[in-house]
Amino acid sequence: MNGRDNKEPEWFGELKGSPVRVPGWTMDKIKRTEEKATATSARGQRAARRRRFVFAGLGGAAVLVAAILLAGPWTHPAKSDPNAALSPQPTPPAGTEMPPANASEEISPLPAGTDEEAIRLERKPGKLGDQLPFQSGEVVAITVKGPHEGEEVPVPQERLFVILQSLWWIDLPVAIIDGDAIHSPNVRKLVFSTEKRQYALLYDPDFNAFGLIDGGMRFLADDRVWMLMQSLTNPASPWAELDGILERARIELENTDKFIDEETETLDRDRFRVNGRDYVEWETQFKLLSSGRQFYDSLTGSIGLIQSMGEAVRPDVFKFGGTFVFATDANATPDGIAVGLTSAETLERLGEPNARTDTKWSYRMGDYLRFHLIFDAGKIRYMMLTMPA
Amino acid sequence: MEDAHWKYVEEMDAAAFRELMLTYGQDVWDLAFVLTKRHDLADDVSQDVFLKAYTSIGSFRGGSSVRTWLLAIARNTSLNYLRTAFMRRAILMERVTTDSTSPSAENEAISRSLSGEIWEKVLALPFKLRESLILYVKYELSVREIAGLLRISEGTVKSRLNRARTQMADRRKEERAYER
Repeated sequence: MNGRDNKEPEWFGELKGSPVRVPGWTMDKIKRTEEKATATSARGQRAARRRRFVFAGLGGAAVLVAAILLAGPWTHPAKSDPNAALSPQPTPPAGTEMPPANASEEISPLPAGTDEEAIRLERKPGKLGDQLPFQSGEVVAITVKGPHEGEEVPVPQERLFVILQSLWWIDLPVAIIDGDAIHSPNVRKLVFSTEKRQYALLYDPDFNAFGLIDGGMRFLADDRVWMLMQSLTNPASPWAELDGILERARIELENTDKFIDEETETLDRDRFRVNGRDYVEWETQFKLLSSGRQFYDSLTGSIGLIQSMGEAVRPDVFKFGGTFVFATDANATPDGIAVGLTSAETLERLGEPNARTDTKWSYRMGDYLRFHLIFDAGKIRYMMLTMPA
Repeated sequence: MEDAHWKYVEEMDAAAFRELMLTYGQDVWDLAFVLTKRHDLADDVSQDVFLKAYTSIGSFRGGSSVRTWLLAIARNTSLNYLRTAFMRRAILMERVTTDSTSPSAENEAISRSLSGEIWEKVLALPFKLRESLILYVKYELSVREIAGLLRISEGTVKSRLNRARTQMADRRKEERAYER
């Protein structure tokens, strides 16, 4: 079914038309959209004119102030720390400390090898994928090299899509952050291999950011790249363990014919509160934290935070795009569902899940599967609350 | 307007904007409706999609077709609307319950508006299966295109399509058995 399947059932033909009898998109709606576009455009032009006026005024004032200062006794050489971040970064979540680079070694920015072409990008809106020198389907391998010479790890074939799709959907002006990946002590080089050539980009795990080989730009990756790279570059971290098990669940799901059981009842959503909180209430809890690692959320086109709560070595709760993961028995549901319970104990307290594979059981809340149990060696290893869809 | 023409457009004039909406509007609306299962949300999503296209046509570089580009925006916008609605309902302490044994008036109205019984079965599919199936069947995207649009692996697309087909076949079989 990679291209198109020739053996299509006859009901496929019934889905070629519109799902509704009366077309939903009408001339009325077209006109309303046009009016809104015109109004938005007019507002934008007025705002741009105001900005030009303000900048002109500020520019004049700045020239005057500069002239006064230069002529006066207040002039002194500015001191600045070249290593200071230009904008504050949240502190990284627990358990993500990288093995420290040897401070006495000279930091190498990992230049492109003789067979590698440095990827060059322009800071312009739109999909970053449109600027890449290759199509995602052309990439046959991705290798993670560094931080020291000779160190390299291949990205598993079945995970290439994680990095490629993250890159593809990045909107650069949104994802760019201050600083330069080439200065990071833990920077890695990503080498993308096609049939004909190899291309190179940097990845800075300290900031979850891609960077250009020649420097000059650093931009955020998404949360799934972050977790994959933790698996590859920091395998002892709790995030790497989480990534490994979730990947196992994903592969099981790909290979299963039947996942959802239509006959299983939907339980009251209050039974899925974890420590008395639902998804939104956990969201509120995490907003109180200042720590986190930034990621580019391609769904919303904005910046999100990867966070954790609890001890550094073994966090109690992880948070990433639309998902809370409860990793210890510090948190439980009203039925006492918690990390450590066996599958038999779970069935006794909660009943059959609405959907299941060996590793992942999922329970429905409303229209969506939103409470999940991840099993390892017959016991709950993680509980998860997710956003709809 | 030819697909290739759009990648050279830096700003849209009124005529081009009208043409874009006339050409692709129903496709966008249909996808928004299938994903949100609501007429009003489909209206809002469609408007948002074209407003975004209006302001960001300059960023379209022709890496995909214009239709695929618009469908990707429609899918993301639909999902964002659903999640925002979920957060708002939860914050306002409203409980939205779905009881399959007694459809609400809203569900009945949607049911009556559908163009065929097949669509009732499609709308009853879980979101992830529904979106993959419709992108494949109605919009005739390839597995690779769907994987890129949904940011999942091709294996996951194939798996979802297989499960969607199985569920649809099961429901149709049940219906035929009931009618006998």
